[in-house]
Amino acid sequence: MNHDDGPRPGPRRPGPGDPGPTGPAPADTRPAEHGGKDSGVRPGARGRRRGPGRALWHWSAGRDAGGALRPTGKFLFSRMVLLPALMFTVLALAGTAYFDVHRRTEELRDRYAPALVDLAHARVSLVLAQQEAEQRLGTGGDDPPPQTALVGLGERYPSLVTKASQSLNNTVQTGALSRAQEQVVRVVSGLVSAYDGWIDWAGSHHDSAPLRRAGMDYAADLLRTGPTAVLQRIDALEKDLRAAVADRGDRHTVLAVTASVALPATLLLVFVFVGLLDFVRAGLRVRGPLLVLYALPVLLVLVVLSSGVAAQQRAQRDVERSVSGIGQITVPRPSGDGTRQAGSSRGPDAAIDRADAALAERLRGTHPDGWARASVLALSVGAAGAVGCGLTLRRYGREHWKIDWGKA
Amino acid sequence: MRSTRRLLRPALACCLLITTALVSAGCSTGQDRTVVVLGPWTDGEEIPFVGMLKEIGRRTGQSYEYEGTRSLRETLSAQLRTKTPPDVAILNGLGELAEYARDGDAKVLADDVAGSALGPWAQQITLEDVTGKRRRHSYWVPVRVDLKSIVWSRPGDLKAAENPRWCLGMASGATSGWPGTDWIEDLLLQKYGANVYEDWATGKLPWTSPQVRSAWQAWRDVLAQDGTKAAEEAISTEFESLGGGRYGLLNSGKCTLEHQGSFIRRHYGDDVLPAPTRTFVPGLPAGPRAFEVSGDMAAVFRPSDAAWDLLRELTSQAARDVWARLAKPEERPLFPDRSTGGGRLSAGTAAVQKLFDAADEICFDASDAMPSTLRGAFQRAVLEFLQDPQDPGLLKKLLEQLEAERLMQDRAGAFALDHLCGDPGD
Repeated sequence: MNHDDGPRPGPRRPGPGDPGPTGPAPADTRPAEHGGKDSGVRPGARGRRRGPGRALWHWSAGRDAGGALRPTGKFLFSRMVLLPALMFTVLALAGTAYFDVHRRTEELRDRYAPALVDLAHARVSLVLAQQEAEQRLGTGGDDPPPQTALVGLGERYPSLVTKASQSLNNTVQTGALSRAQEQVVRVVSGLVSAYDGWIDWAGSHHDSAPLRRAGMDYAADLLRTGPTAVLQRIDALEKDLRAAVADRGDRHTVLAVTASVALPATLLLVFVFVGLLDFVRAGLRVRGPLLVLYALPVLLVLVVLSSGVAAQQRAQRDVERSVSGIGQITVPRPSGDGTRQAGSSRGPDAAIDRADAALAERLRGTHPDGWARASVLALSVGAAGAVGCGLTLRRYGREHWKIDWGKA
Repeated sequence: MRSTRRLLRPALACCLLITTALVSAGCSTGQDRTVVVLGPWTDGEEIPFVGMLKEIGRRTGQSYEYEGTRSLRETLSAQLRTKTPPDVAILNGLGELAEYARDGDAKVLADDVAGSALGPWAQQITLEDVTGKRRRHSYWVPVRVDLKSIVWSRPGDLKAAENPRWCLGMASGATSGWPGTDWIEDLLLQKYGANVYEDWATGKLPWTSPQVRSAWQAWRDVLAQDGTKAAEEAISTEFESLGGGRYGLLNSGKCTLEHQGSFIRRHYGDDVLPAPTRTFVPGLPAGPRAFEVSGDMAAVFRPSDAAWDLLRELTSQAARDVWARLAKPEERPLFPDRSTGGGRLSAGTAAVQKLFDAADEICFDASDAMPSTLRGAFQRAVLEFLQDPQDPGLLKKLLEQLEAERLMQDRAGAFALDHLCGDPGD
């Protein structure tokens, strides 16, 4: 007989203590020390050692109090329901934990990091625009350069202001902002428009010292003076978003809760499964290789998802470090004579772009999409395994149920 | 044994339930139900208003987010262009609000809200609806008002009285120049009365008319009292900030008279009091006690039950009482019915209220009633004028430019308001 082909057909003779199909076992009222209940069990020491652990094992392995096998049909039926249920529970918990972490990483990668990059671009562009305006129109009591009548503010200033406005608009489009934060960005956009208006006005009055100075002062106030100025509002928003990034990277509530439930659930699953294998070996004379085959993916899912979670958390820490670095990129002050050094204006923007590109590269290296696909595949295979276990147990128990229910 | 089995089954059932709960929690999404309010108050002036919003929110369960800026026009225009307006905006320009109403951005008030609109602050305007019919509707309600045409000083400072010197500061962010427009409007009102003032503000009287020119020249004469450089210095002087956290030009020690609206009293103690402009500007004819007034008007831009409810709240006595309670005595808001809420008033607030009650006529701020482009041009013309107020050629050029703009706005039908003046009891 091949033990791998499933159970042998035919009814099993009820063992001692087996309640049979119609009623509970007759109570054995003899005291344990006189050999009651467990025939063949020595009274005394072993009776005293039968604690909760042993009781649990008996429950898991389908034994009655005396160590004899419980009715096969009933036991296999209960395991046909319980085992897949436990497997699906473990899979659901593991999946929830993984995809929560994955979602956070996606948010950080696709929303918060781009929002912070755009805010940094806006901030840098405005500071550069102000430096350009000061160079073109002079500061304080200085006269503007002689070519101002021909050149005006030049080409660079308007393109910097346009870039700042576009960056602010892009920040809103990322979806990282709350409605209140979006309103702050809209207010900043309005202030940038007013700022630009005054610089233009100062430029149109470049030949009038009081008006040129006044326009530059009004603009500089809008840009820098007080907590409601443009740069201060952008700075506050950057701080809020970086705090949100850190919070998302640190907050593991769902992970902690699901892990704290998944771990005991997994242990219970293993316990029940091992008990089932023991029952099947003892009662049906099979080693249950199919059961093992179907159960293995469930356990492998945990390995795959744990690795995925670790990769996602590394990615989150990367994002946090990168956005912190981007927040520290500033515009160098111009040289003493107010002129720009070659390449100095492109420096901060280029630094932001480099940091952004490096972050994108590192995040690509964590293969987030690959892990997500692997997780979905693993969960699917695990679910199929759970179904397979249930079907296998159904096959094992089918004949017994015919006998048991037929007798009923 | 049986009790262990009994415990295990429910435990396993709980596992399944927890799993379901976690998965469904992960799928749910929260929706932001915050009502966003855009307004003009910043630098601490917004604190009692924001406190009032919080109290309204606690009572109604609605959350509000206030954002203040002095660049209201630029901010709101940008938001409307991107179709992301605030729910409610509080603006001080009737002319600007009329433009938004004409463009369909500001929404028609419900009857119960419109009924709380009072005085020259609350205008009905006539616009064509989608069928081409012309209808009159209200689009905003005043929530707070201020008295103008007043001059602040320290009456107890006899030395200052012997050597008066005008405080003058034009710098105010995006709207720099407006303190000068206040001067010219007030002088026109005091010299020629409400009818001429109203015609000018509603676009019927040319900028090149003798009356308007005379108002500018009267201001020139006031400025001349303080020397040739004072006007030019005023271009870059802040209208209220002294730097270093200090406010109020009268606190600078460099001047003794400040022509400014009633809101400025929040920077001053009880020793600073208002008086009508004609008290300090010689040569103004005797006549009815006419005052300019300004207001902050709330309009709905993104209609929703929550937005309309907020408008009802802002015009309710309960909300006004809260606002008044949260404000310091010197910054107690004035409401359209000229009340200030219960509680102790500062000497300045009491004096303003007394002047309000004694007024024969009140007229809405002229530049705030003009189309926004003309208002901006007026503000910048004031700044240019201050370079050299004694230059008649400069004044002639500025008035001609403003007149050209008035004609353009008139041809475009941009003057939407018919009257700005009335009896305070209206």
